[in-house]
Amino acid sequence: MLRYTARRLLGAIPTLLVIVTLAFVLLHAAPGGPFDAGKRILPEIQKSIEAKYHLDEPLWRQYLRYLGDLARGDLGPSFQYRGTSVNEIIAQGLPVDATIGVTAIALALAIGGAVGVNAALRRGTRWDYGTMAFAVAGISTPVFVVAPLLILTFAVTLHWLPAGDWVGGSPSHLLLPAIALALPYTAYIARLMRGSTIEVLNSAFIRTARAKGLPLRLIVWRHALRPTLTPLVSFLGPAIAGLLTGSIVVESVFGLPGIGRHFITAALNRDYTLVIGITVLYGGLIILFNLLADLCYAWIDPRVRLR
Amino acid sequence: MTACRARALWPSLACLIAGCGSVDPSTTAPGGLPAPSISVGTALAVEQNLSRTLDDTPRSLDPHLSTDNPGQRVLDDLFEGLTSVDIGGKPAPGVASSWESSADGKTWVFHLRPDARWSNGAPLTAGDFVYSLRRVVNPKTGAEYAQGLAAIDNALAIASGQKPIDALGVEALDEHTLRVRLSGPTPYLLDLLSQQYAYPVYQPAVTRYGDDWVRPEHIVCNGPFVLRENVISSRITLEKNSNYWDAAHVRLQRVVYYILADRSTQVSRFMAGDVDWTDSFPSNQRPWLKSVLGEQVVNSPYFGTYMLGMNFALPPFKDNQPLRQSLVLALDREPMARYMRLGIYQPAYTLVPPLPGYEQPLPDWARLSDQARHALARSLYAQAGYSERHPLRVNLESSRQDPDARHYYEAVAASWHSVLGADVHVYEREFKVLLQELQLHKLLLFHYAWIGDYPDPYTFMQIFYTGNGNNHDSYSNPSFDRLIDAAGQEPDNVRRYRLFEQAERVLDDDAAYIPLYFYATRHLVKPYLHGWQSNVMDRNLSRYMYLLEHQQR
Amino acid sequence: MSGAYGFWGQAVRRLRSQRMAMASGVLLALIMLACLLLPLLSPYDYFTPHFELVSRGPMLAGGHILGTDPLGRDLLVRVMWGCRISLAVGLAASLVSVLIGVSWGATAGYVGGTTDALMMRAVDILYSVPFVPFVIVLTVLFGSDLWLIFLAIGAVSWLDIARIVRGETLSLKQREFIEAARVSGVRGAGMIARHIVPNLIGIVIIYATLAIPTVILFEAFLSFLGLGVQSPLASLGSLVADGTSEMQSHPHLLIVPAAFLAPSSTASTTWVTGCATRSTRGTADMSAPPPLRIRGLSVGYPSDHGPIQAVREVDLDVAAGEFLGIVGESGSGKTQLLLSILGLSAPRAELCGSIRYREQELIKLEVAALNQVRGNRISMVFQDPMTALNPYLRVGRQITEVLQVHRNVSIREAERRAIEMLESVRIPDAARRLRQYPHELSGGMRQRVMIAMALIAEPEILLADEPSTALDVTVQAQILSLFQELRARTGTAIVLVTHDLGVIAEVADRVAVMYAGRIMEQAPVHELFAHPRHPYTEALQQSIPRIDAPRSTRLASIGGTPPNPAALPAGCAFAPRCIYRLPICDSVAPPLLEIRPEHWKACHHEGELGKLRGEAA
Repeated sequence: MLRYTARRLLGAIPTLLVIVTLAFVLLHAAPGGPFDAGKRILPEIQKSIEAKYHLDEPLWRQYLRYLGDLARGDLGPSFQYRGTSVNEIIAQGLPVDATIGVTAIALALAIGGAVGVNAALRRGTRWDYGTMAFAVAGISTPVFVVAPLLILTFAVTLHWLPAGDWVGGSPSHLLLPAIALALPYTAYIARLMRGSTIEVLNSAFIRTARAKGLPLRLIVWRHALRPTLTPLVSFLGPAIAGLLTGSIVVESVFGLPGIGRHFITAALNRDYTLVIGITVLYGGLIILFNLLADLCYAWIDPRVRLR
Repeated sequence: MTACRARALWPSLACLIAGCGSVDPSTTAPGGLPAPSISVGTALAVEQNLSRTLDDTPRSLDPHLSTDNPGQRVLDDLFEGLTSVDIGGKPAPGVASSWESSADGKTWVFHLRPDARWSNGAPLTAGDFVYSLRRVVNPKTGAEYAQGLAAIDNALAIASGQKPIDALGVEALDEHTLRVRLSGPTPYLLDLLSQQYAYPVYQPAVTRYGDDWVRPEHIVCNGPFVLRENVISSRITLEKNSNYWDAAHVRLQRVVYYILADRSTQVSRFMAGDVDWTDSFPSNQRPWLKSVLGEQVVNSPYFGTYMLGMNFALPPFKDNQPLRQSLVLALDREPMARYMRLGIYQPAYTLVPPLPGYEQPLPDWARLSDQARHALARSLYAQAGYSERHPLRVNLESSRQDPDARHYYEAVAASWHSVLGADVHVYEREFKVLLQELQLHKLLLFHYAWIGDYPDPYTFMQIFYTGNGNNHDSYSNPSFDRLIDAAGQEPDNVRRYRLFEQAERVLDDDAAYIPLYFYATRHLVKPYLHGWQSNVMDRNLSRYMYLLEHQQR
Repeated sequence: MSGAYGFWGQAVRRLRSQRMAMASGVLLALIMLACLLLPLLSPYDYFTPHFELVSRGPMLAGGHILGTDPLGRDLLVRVMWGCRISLAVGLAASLVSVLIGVSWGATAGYVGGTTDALMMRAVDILYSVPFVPFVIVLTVLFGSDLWLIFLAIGAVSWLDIARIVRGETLSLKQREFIEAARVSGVRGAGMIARHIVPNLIGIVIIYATLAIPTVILFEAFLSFLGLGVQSPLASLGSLVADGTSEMQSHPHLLIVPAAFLAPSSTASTTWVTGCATRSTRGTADMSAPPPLRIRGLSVGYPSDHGPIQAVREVDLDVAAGEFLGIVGESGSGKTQLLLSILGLSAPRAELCGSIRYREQELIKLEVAALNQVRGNRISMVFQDPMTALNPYLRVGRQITEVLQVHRNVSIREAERRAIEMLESVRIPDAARRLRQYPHELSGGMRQRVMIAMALIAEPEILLADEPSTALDVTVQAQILSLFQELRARTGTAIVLVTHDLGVIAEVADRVAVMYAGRIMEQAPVHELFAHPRHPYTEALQQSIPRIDAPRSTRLASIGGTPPNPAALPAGCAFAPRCIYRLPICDSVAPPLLEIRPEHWKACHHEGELGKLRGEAA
């Protein structure tokens, strides 16, 4: 397993390189630079600023310089927020995103899993149809519709929860954004678990287990659990990408100091380093989580051999 | 008796019918959102902690590098220049307690307070101002607003790299006296010196920490507050500076700025009681907010103009005054401002927004009736060679706007279509892209909003001056330039204003631009927050503010 | 017949059986129709503003049924246009991703070798690229022209299709018609375009339509960020985004487009998954004979055409320690008979009759009590040991848990007995095997593990459903001899279900022949083989090829086809194929009668048979 992990991580390097190059090329190909503003800057000053950020160098040299810094873990200075480095912006924002993301996934797994399995066990009843209808609605309703509605209901009208802001470690500030983010995942996981549970319960080896006279509890926990989980694990790996994009909306609506919001303003303001930095971060996270998902999958299913 | 009663009946019936017919659903509050009820006392609140919002993260807290409004807000609380602004936005003594100017207005002497200090207790001297002003114009600093100090002698030459920095026209006569030499009489100098690019910075910190000197742990400032915390894109926390010379009159203990790019979120937080002052709110929500919050909704004139520019170097607008004029005339500014901008903004017929002492030269066509104006527009359009079979086809290029601003532009295009038959499409582009095209003088008809840097007409005039860096439409008229030059040398401000008014008439004759409306501020302010006044530059220093005791349910 | 309808026929039939999917399909069609027709029929213009009517709420009188937008335009017309554009974006972007994905995947799969490896490696890399940021960057930098949005979204979502198409191409390559084409000289691009791609259409369409709701929502997301379609065009997403900012003052501006967005994407999601879902209806499985005394057992499954009887009024007894063989074709109901004994029939099965195990009625017995019987007193061995064993658990665990549940022994003791049991089913190196997973064992060993699992609690009766069918012949023989050995040793009664008469002849004491859910003949094994009394039994015997028959002998088979359980003939089910048929056979079903001691038959024909063997009728 260790060799496999190492090999995957090494293989990630060309991928990240592709990401960096693509982003770099795209950004520099676009019209407009970071220091173009509505009010004209004196040419001498513009030159001085550009020199400071190496924007006057030929493109290939800027590229190599960036790669060199990247190899050392330095994502460069932000062009928008003068005096702040990209590492700093990401370091400030990442814990927020991580906390909300983890909470959202935990909620989605717990609620979605319970609802889905339950619906499978009560298949064909009104409970089943009801929860599945909710699931489809949840998947189809965009986050940017749900999030403001949540604020409207719980913060402005009922005053139960704060309307936004982030106070580190405060669960009440965490709750609404995590719920908004978790909703489509809960719905999807419910659907997935329901389908998976039904399929597993109909499988031949469960029939064998029943034929052995094992009690239901034992059948569910020992025999049915692992096979039910495998599609979930396959889903969670790539789901991380969706979490990252969903967080963009959640952050902007709740006013959270996360990374997602930065991304768009950075692109709009041609903050090259911040855009590339966030893109590389996202790419890295996707690779990492896919690797984790594959490892998890191999751990659950003994038939899977890691190549 | 019956007749009396009947007569009493008619007015009430009439009211009813009138009321039914013209009920405007947009002013009734939607179901489910009750206005928070707040009761306000008369004494000061025990806790003087103010929460405000910002529309965006300040790009920098270095006053010399700051270029945006959010930055200005925070810097106004952290720093103070030679002059400051009073509660009404007018220049007032700042670090300098008094000053004199020479007869020709070109030399000023400022007397600094002896008790002026930095936040770390070090004395604030004239030398600090010399260092700071030189830093602004030094090309190496990369201060984007360096030309803000253009009034100071040699400032532009230094910023263009032609002269060394010590050629700047500022001199410390002694520890508490500063002499400033100007390139021409500058009546608005005091306003200028209250801007953030004229704030002093603490040299030892800058030298020692470089770019990092603005961090909370390193920063040294001289204003009513100090920086406690700066969470990027989240909030900025300030605390009262006990070393400020006027600390005795500063009532607030703490100010927290929440950075909320989404304006609807600012409204939500205000309604929830988290913030006491918002920097903005979605303008399309104004009628509803007004009905729910009443006096807490503040709109007042702001020193900015929304207009459209036309390219003078390319057809169809080149050398085609009738066409340009027809576009100017064909718009019904009153109803558009009322409906599209919901009465927040005032329609504009001239360039410079309302300014005390300045008489806006209203053009004759503004006084015509709608039909007459439309007829005149149509005849000019025909005169320019366009007709229904051969309509004007052009794109209206703008940057990405709020939905309500976008609707306004669509209304403009629609008006031209219905009055003239012109085929104009609104084309939104991303801001940087638009800028670049503008600077290359490639766009024909474009969004051209301008906000004045200081309350003086010159800040608007310069964009039509031949060859000016901000002159995006290639407009050039020697008689206009002559008037501006003359104003630049006129020491008497009243005569100076008259010259500017004349210049505006030249612009109108040329149909140099299409005026649309003037900006207004948009704030939500809690009733228990006092110590502020609307002013045309929208500078609301926390220094004067205080909170009365209150209860929100 | 089901195969002959091809892909579309199957899809349609699947759809019809899923009511929710059908409903969504109809809804989707209605929405599409509305957004095409309504703007044409409505008197209101799509983009002319009317300033006096700004942002009015829904009103029935004024003509604007759903209200107006901030420019005074009719909201219904705007939303219909928005639907149109959203759907257009969805379709166009899907088209782009299909085009790219299909060409990429088909080329990679067909050409194979290094090209394939390289192309797929590119796909792997691109999978990890966070595509949303890139689309955002693309639209920010290069504007939001509609075609650019199609291109951007399509360009990042072709990866899944490429992978699937490559997989399908690889398996198609092996098929005969490709070989045939190659033989006739078709090569390269022509091969891909003319032969491979058409066969991929079905699966590609499914994945393409699966992408549509995602694309619609993605475009909505872009519009929320201000990067989607630009005015005066509006997609549902940009209308929702605009409405969100007006939510507190003019809620109808949000509710109306959201009300169209949610159903559209919901409907397309459900419709697509309806097409793609395999029907999980249980197969018409028949149940099995009861343990000791089965009387009048019937097992039926409800269906649209009335109940399908898998087992019809079966009477059967299993004596202690006896080896009962049940033989019949597939569909005869023998497996269902077995399953119903332990209550393992599909949930929809309806059981009537009686299954008595030692005075306990097993039908409708509550689960707790039934669990006392299962694995303990009566156990079962299933047909396919690969699927019948849990691949996620070690073999040892699957054996020991039987003892732990039923005998309450310690894990150590259970393992000891498990090892013993494995050895007795002739698995060498038992202790090591205990730790292994099922996929690490051979087919024969797996089946032996199953048998060990079934016997470890020393049950009274062992039910075996075609235990050696899935194995190769030599292993088969071993399993059978194992059964015999175990029965001799432990005295367990064995009920062996099989379609192979030869197997029965070797090991069984008594045989029951089933056809169409009924027992047709029941007799001790020698008797059955020597004197078959039922035409079906005789025919079965004759159809066993004999190694000593002359080469020229035609392979005997029973004429006709097995009956459709949903449409059983009145009278004897075998009558249509029976060479001894009498007129009464078509109308009256023969009862099961004892004609000689222990020899039961259900047939109207009296006396001996022999036509097939060339003897007198």
